[in-house]
Amino acid sequence: MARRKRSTRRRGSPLRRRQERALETPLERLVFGLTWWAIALGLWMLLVFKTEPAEIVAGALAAALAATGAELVRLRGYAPFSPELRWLRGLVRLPRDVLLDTWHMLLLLVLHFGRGQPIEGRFRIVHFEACAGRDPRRQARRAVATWLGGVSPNTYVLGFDEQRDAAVLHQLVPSEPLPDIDPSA
Amino acid sequence: MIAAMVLLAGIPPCLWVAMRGTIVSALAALELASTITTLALLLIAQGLHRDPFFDLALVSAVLSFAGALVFARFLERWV
Amino acid sequence: MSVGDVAVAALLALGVGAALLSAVGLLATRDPYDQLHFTGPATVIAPVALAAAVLIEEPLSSAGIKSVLVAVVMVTTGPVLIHATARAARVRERGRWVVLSEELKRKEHPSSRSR
Repeated sequence: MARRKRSTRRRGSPLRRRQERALETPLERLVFGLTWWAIALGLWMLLVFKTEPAEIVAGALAAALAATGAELVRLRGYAPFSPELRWLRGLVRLPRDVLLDTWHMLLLLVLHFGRGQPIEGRFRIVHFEACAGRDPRRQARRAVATWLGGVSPNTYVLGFDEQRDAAVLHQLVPSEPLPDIDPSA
Repeated sequence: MIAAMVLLAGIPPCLWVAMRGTIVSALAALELASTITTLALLLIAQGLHRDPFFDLALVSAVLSFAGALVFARFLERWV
Repeated sequence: MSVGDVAVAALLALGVGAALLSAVGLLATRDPYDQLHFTGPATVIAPVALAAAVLIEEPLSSAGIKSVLVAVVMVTTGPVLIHATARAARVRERGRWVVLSEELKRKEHPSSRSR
């Protein structure tokens, strides 16, 4: 993707005080702003659940305000975020994982109360390929991995050791095989 | 409505943990309690068939997230 | 009782059951890191089940859409909260975010990737 190429090319200046931003051209910024505006307007319409012109005008104004806020946050580079669409594949297995994990937790509780079996979770350090990097793509990858790892209740991600390509997980019941948190895997 | 009442049975354990546990346990209990409260609001709104009450649940969901995040931030550094 | 009523009852039972499971789990454990796991079912399964129940009762109404929004908000924010709280607990214990060398010696590789 062109966006990624640009951000990796520009990486390297150590004096950049601001963080890398995902979008640079005016067109990309316009699309970003319009998308935010459309999402905010959509939310407004869903919440008021009326199609009166006055509501649409008020919603459009409020959405413009929200889009301006989003653009300001993006300009400052507080939250560089540039995900890839194919990471959505990680969502497919989530429902199954969530239900299975909850079932295991129920069994764990039954065993705990029935036979006094202790509940002892533990930390696990897992290899996370190409972890380091401050560019929007890498940061988005870590953020998405943190989220994906945390949805099913048996596992959550505490953080990363970027220099040594490691992710710190906590698991209630150590699972085998290891949970696959990397969205780009 | 019955489901909402049953759901509220989840609050006392959270209260107990919040009172007796460490400060991080208390935060976990607070998070669970606010989740349960939000869901109870949702069920009450549906039980009473009052549309505006759903806004309460939505606002509660968003604000409890923000509130717990602020708590977590404070626990990290200052409290 | 129609099929819809049965489905609504089942979803309500699932949602309330998941929330109560969380509450009992919170009570059963002492370690905050373990307790955080038990907030999971209440923030992921319960809102989805309850929103689905409302949606079956009142499809395409303001109520249905708002309950779906509540579920979306809770499912997206739940894992973030768990992560933030656990990280805060660890930073609190150690003064800053750090992974110790002895921990790194136990690093595991997801080589047996089955999926």
